[in-house]
Amino acid sequence: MRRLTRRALAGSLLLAAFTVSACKRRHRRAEAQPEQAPGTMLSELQMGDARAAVQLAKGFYDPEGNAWRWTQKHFSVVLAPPPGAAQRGATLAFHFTLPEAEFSKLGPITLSASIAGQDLPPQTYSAAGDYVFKRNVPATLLSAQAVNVDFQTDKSLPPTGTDQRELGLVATSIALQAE
Amino acid sequence: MQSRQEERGTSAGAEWRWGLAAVIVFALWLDWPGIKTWFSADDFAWLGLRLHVHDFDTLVWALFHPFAQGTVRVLSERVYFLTLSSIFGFNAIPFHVVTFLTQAAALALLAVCMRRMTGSTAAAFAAPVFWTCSAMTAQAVSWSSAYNEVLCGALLLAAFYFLLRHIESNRGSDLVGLWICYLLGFGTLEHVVVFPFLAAGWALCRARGYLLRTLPLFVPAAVFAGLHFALVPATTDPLYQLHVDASMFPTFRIYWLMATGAFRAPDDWFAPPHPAGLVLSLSLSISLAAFAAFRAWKKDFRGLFFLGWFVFMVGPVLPLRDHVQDYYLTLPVIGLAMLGGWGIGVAIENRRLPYVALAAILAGAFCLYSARDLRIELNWYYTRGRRLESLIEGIAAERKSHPGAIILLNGVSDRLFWSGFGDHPFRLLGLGQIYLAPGTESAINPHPEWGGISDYVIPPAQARAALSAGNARVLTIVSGRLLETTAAYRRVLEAEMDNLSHSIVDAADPASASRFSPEWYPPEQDFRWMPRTASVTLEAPRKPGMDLVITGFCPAVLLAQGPLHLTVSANGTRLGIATVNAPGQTVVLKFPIPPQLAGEGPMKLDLSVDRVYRAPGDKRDLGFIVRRFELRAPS
Repeated sequence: MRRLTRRALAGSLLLAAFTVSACKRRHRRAEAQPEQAPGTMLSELQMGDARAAVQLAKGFYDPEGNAWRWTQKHFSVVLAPPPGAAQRGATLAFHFTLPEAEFSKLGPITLSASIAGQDLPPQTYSAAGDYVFKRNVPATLLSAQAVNVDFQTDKSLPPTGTDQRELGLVATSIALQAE
Repeated sequence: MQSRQEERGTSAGAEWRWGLAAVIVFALWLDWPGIKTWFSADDFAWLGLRLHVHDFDTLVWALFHPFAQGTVRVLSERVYFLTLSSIFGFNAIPFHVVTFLTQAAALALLAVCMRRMTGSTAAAFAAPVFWTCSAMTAQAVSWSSAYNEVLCGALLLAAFYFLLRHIESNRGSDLVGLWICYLLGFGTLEHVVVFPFLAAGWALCRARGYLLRTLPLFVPAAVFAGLHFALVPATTDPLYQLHVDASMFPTFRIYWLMATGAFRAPDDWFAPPHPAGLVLSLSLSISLAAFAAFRAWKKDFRGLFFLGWFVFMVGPVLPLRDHVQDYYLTLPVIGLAMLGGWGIGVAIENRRLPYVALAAILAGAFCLYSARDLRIELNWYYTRGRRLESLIEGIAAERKSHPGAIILLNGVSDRLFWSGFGDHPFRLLGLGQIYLAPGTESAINPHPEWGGISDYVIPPAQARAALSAGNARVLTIVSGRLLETTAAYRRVLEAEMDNLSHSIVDAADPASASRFSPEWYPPEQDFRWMPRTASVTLEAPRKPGMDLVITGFCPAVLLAQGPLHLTVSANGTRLGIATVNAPGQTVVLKFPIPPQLAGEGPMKLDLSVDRVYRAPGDKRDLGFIVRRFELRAPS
């Protein structure tokens, strides 16, 4: 009788465990449908903003700390020109960090960019730190609903045994700001 | 009325059973995140096996054809996955239930073996607790594809249990049980060939009269090993190449440090050990070695046997220098758990406070530290599986609401991709036409040795056409969330394609490999050699007035006989002939593209050089080095 009770107890515990598990699975399936994202294009992309992810066209890794992302050597985004940009132009502003750990290995890094196929003046960064790469963008390049911005660094950290990623810069935000 | 002795026996038996139950409940609690974990990686290949079984012949093929680096693990992989997937389909829970029940049996067998080997109840309970706490068991208890470790462990321990019984009783039935479990082990994992060494080792240590009876065990092991190397073709996967050389010693060091708690996370195995982990590892290493050596000095060689269990069990994976895996330690750490458990038993029996205190501190530190690591790993596997499950469920839901539309996935990270995409989980749900959003594949290491990523790459023009026709849906993954972003992504892709400066093809970019004709030599670092002639396909410029820019390099040896001439044509129209005369320097060659070539669709570039070079010992005809093709507005 005692043995039977123990078996019943053990069986009940297992049954309860799998019932809990099954309940959780049912709950999950209710969440399965993807969330509907707004179709509007952003002029400013904050790296931790889920709405911005679709506009990070190439060369970005997963967000970290819900605030920044490592880039590859080449990376590109698509931005909506801000209101009035087609008449007055805009300013491209890229907020990023050149980490000390990277700078100590690579030395000065040159960042170049092009927007809608036009090269913008590059800039060389000779110390680690937080920077804003700012360039004026003429109105003639901002007549479309969305424009592509390509970035490229002249150096990057190659993959290592512990991190298989090619690492360019630590991006915080990229924006086209109204003049 | 029962006699007092019978009462004590009944009471001891009850305590023993309750103790075993407590160990198993503890394991259930500790491994719980692993039991909830969804499928990943190789699981999908095994789950897909049943799709190939249609009749008896295909069943035989599925059961016995070498897969996965040429292995044939009939029971632990083929039967396990075929049976459970046929009954339960895509539900991971039954797989984990079977795994846990097998592991529970293994824990019970370890306890009864320890009781027979040491005569100590404390040792019998401590060993399975140590094994359960080992972080090295994380994959084995949470990843269905590692069930081979669990089942092999259970069968090895069962065979060993019968060996111990046979030595005690000399009954033939125990010998039969030993042989059955041992032979079944050949259907689980190649490690079973080590069992004869363990059996002979124990006989040497404790029952030399039985040593001869263990020798026949070597016959199946030798036959299996011979057949394995003779019949199974060597794998071409570089990760699984065998290195039987001095590199096995550093590999052993890594495995030892991992087993004793020096390393905290799978990604850090080759990084410097965590300081606290290293202290624990050194303390355990010194204590266990000193304990085994002291007992050996006293002519008790059980400690050496337990250490030998670790060495023999880890031996088969030491030649896999480039594929160090924590789950390979699932079986070896049983030896260390045995040694630690015996140490606890001896300390308690001796009743000397310093020894008891030392044993308690080391055991407590190991259990707390390693169990914490185990939970971290199990939660990591659980989260990874959960993300993959959510993604696949989300894709299935999207396909259900938009049947026929192709699905473009944006934001798939390297880790997410290789946690399952490579083994095509979507086909198991009948989901086809799933691709990475054009351009995003650059964030994924292509790993051609694992099958590559080409099945998920779609040309931008095809994706754009599908989006324009309303035949594509885009799902963006952000921090585990799945967003439907078709409208926004359509604008992104249009902007990308309108921006002709984005038309860049890097010669060494694996994502662009399909653009290069077969004549090209394989990528090296960031370039490719072309022979005398070769071609590459780009997207045609959508606007007139663009330049084709080729970035290349010409080693001095190529120019020893004078300048090199590179002729370039696009869709049959000659763009020009460039003269290369800068030895050892990067060269940038610009070719204006005639306006009539502008438009949508592919543009095939034919390249030829007027001279090739053959380096000594190199059979290749070397023409020119190309790093990049680019369409750019004239500057």
